[in-house]
Amino acid sequence: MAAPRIIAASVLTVALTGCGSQVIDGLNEESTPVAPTTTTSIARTTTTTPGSTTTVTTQGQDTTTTTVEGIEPVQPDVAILLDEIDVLLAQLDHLSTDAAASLAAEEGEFIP
Amino acid sequence: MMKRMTVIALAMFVLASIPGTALAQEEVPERSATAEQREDEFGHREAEWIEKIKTRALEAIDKRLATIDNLQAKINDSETVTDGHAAVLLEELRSSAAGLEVLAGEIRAAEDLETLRALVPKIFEDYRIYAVIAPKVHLVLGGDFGVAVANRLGEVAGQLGDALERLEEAGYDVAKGYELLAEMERLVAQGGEQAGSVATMVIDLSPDDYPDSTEVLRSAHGVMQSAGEDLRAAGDTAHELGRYIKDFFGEADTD
Repeated sequence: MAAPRIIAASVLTVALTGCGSQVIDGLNEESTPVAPTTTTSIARTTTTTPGSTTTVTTQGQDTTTTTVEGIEPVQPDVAILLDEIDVLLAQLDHLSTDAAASLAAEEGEFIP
Repeated sequence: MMKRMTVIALAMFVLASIPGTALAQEEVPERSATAEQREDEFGHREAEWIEKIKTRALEAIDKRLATIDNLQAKINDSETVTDGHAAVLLEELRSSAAGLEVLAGEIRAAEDLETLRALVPKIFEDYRIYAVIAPKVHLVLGGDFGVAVANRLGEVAGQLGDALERLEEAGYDVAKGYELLAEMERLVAQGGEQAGSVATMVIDLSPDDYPDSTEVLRSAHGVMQSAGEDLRAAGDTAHELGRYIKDFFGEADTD
């Protein structure tokens, strides 16, 4: 399907909390019109910044695209951090339980 | 006739008294044997009792030394305990272990019950490993861990705040996001402050503080639980904020 002349396909990599990175089509009036690229999922750890170029392989051909200015991608490690936070909070619960058990332990004194 | 009767009576009297005399002589040896047996039996029982007390006391010391080893390992394995707290706790545990070893030697060398009655209570009263030291170590480790969790949540809040700023710059209304962020930051600050106070409450407690130390330790645990509740709520808010940001892009999960 032909894309509008001015519309240039561009790719943004956005990593969101708990759901991994996603790619969103955007607009860049200053870029050279190119054939539309297929939306592609990129690995969570990949980031792009406005003005940078990202190479995307589409339909067997390398297509150089330019990220649209405007929305910068969220740092991908936020999702990783939240996963880590969940683990840490579980560990904190465990430590609290250990402390409670320790408080309940008796000295076990005896007198000869 | 009378003279003869007198002689016969006298002879009969002498003959009658002989068995009694012999019998009296036989009773004395039986009473001495029983008293010696009793003394021997008492001494044997006391020796057994002393050995039982020593065994039980040394088992109590060994149990405490094993607990000290376990606590030292937990401190050394912790990645979040502060250097200062670790130093204080490890020195206290080292000193306790050394003291218990000396006491064990004294108990082994004790030869009477009176000495053991003086030594054995020291195992509990001078060290309070289970009443004071162990819970104190667990609370310090937990409190410092809670501070670390709060710091990590603070990093997450910072990154989520950056995302909101970028959305706002792009023209989106993210007022709700900022409300969630403020709530998250409030919970993180509150939880972190409480977690940080736990170690302060208990780090200076010593065996001499028992039994008043029990109430202090329980209060500190209550603070630690409260910190945990705030930090969990902050984590939940972080997830909620993450979903809020994600909704702006209208994308389904691709995991």
